[in-house]
Amino acid sequence: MNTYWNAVVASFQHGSWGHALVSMQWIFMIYFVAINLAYLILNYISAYQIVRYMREYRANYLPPGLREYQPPVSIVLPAHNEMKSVVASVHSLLKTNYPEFEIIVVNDGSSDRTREALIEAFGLVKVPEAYRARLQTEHVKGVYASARYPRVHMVDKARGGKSDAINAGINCMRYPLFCAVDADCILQPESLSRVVRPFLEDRRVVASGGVVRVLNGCTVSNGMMSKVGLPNHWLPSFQVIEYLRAFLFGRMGWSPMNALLVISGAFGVFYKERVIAIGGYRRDTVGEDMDLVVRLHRNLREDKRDYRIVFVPDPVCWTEVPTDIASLSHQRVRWQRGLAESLWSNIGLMFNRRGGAAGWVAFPFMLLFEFLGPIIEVIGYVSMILLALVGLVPLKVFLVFLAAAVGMGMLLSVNAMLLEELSFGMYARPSQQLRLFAVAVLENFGYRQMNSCWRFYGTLLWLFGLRKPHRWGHISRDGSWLHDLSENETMPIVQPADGSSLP
Amino acid sequence: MEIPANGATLLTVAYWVAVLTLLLAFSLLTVIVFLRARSQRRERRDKRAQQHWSQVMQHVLANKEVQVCPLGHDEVVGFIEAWNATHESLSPPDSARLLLLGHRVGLVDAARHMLRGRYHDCAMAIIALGHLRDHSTFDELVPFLNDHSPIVSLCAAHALGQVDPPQAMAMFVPMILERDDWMPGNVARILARNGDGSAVRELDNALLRANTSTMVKLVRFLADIDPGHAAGVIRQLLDSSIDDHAISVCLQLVNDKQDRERVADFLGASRWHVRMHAASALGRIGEAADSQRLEPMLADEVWWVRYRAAQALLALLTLPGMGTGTAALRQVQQRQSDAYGRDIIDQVLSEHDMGVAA
Repeated sequence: MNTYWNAVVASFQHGSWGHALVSMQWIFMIYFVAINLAYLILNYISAYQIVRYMREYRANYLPPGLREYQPPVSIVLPAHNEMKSVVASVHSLLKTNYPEFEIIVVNDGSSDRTREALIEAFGLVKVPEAYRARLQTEHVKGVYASARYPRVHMVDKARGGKSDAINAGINCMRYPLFCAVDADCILQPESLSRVVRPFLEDRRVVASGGVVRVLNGCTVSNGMMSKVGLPNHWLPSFQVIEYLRAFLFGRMGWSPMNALLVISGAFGVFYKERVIAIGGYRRDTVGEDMDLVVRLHRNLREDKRDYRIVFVPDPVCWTEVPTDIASLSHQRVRWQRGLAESLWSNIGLMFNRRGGAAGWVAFPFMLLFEFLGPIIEVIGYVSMILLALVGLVPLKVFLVFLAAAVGMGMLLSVNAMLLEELSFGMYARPSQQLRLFAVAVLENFGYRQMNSCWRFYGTLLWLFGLRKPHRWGHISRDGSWLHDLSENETMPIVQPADGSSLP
Repeated sequence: MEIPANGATLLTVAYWVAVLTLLLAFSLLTVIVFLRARSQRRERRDKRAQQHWSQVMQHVLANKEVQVCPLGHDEVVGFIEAWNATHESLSPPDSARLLLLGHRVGLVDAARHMLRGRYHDCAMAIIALGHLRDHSTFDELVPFLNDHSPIVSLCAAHALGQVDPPQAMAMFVPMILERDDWMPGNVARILARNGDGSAVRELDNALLRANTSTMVKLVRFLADIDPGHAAGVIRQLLDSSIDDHAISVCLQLVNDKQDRERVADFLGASRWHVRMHAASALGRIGEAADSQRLEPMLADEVWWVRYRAAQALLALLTLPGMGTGTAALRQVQQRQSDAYGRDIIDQVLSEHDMGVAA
């Protein structure tokens, strides 16, 4: 073994490809600087936007009488085998303080008692609704309404996946704006108002998204977020920082350029007719939320329409993140596949004559840094370890590179923390900030690398055509925030996976 | 093993990247912790002041004797928050009982200072001065009506409307046409709060000078606060050659039985929005005889037109003296040769039975 190892080391040290690998470190370094610089620029654009936004909307300045006008919104809640949670989710949605809305729960061929649970809880009865199949979906077995809860409707249909379920919901809805919500999300009473506001302020707006935050460690009362906290475990804590980075500058930074390519499937508001005009949600992708937004950009730009797809920094939706490695890896592989599918199927947007900032800046950015990023990162990690092992990179050099990577990672995370502090300051105690900082340091030692490997694997799955039509997955969650829910609002420990392609 | 020549530069770059980013990260952490601690201190201070002044205001409202002295610097934000919240929970006569307190604590001076401060403080101060209804502050509030922010300008419009309604409406109404960033719902509510008739007068003046498209925008507000007066303008608009959007708006607002025939003329419009709004309007202002005009619309190619026509039919067939509307609509259904028409009646009837309708 020793002799063999020595031979490997010698071939590395004297072979030209060993030195080529050393020279390649330049490429990794340039890529590393470029990606972090790009994120820093996004960060500063976001900071400017958020400070401006907060200046205007920090509090509800308007007297109560002036806050009431809001356009009606249809909320679509796709559900598959969610017998235990769907009733609580609908009750939670009913508590929103939005003045006019309807909730359309789409039972997507559940094999458990989801349909019966809804019928019993809300007194739903089948109505002879003149169903308009404006978007093609699997067979719709019936539409239900309730006299006791006039806002609640249910569409019962054959199983077709999350996209198919949302499309069926769109076919049934009455209002011009719709909001697709994941069944396992917790909202705040003002969530809808916050995300609808851009539609009121600018008639060009066709879609609007908000910040999704991590629910683990928080307290939920009566189906609504009541106290914000941090998770007790490391894995969800890492995701808290990740979500802050992803939303507060990963998304917010693109909004002023009208180049936002992702609105989370967990919570986003869309102008219905525009979504129908582009054929609704695509059924053959796992990244249906990103795909929809990219297609909106593409179509609206091809039609030469003046439009806006916007993002508000308000935390509007709280989601429970995976607490075990298996679920997390499954989720990240899906997200990466979704990203690859969305980018590839809309590649025509990139460098399109009419592509604007979405086609000329955001799309290449996503391709270069989000899609190719994991590949370059994983090759970088492997080569660095290999070179360190064979002695081509001394320990000191290895440590300096590691410190640079950790420093950049920390800087981005702390910037996201600063944005959070400047905007909503949800993590109220200084001790929570210190804990977040510790997490921002520690995530660089293992978590980020693991994440890159999962995303790398997701890219490979997509690359080698191991694609499957969208299905309802399962992600194990710990439900630590459930203690304050009453019995009939309890959500199960094992939740169906969210179909969001990205956080 | 030595580092290749270009490796030395790479190492230097990496070294400085590491040093700078780590330094920056720790500096930012210090800033965050400092900001958090300062914000917590301010929140506690403002909350204390708000609680104290809320109690004082409750005592004043209960006609209890209270001793107060001018506001200290630390109390201003808390007082203004308590002041605004209390006023918003009171009716105007009760609200007037607090005015003396506002003057005794020196609210005008404190709010004036805040008007020059941060955005948040400025908006809160504008609202507070509006509640104070002090004429001496009117001129100071006027510039905020032109503020680029819709929030600040609407707050100013609201406040000015409390201080001097006629003068405020004379300034506010002409601006409605210029400010596209003002949400119509908010404008409508500011106009609706005007109790001395100056809003109607100013809208009337603006309508005299308006062209067809601006007239449509203004007539919506007029219909909210003076439906009788708006009916004449709507009639005038429906008789003129205006675009489909304007016709749709007028059809949504029309509420006078005299306009039945005018509305019926639009049932055959080429644009479905117009047909849909005409059907709804006829359901609102029509008579039982109009059901004959609506029946063919049950076979319209657009779902919404069929839906609104069926709802309108149900409304007309339920009019006094018509008996059970549902039974009559069932009879209409039996006469329909079009399956879509029959389906839409089923839906409308089931929604009617359950009290569900869009």
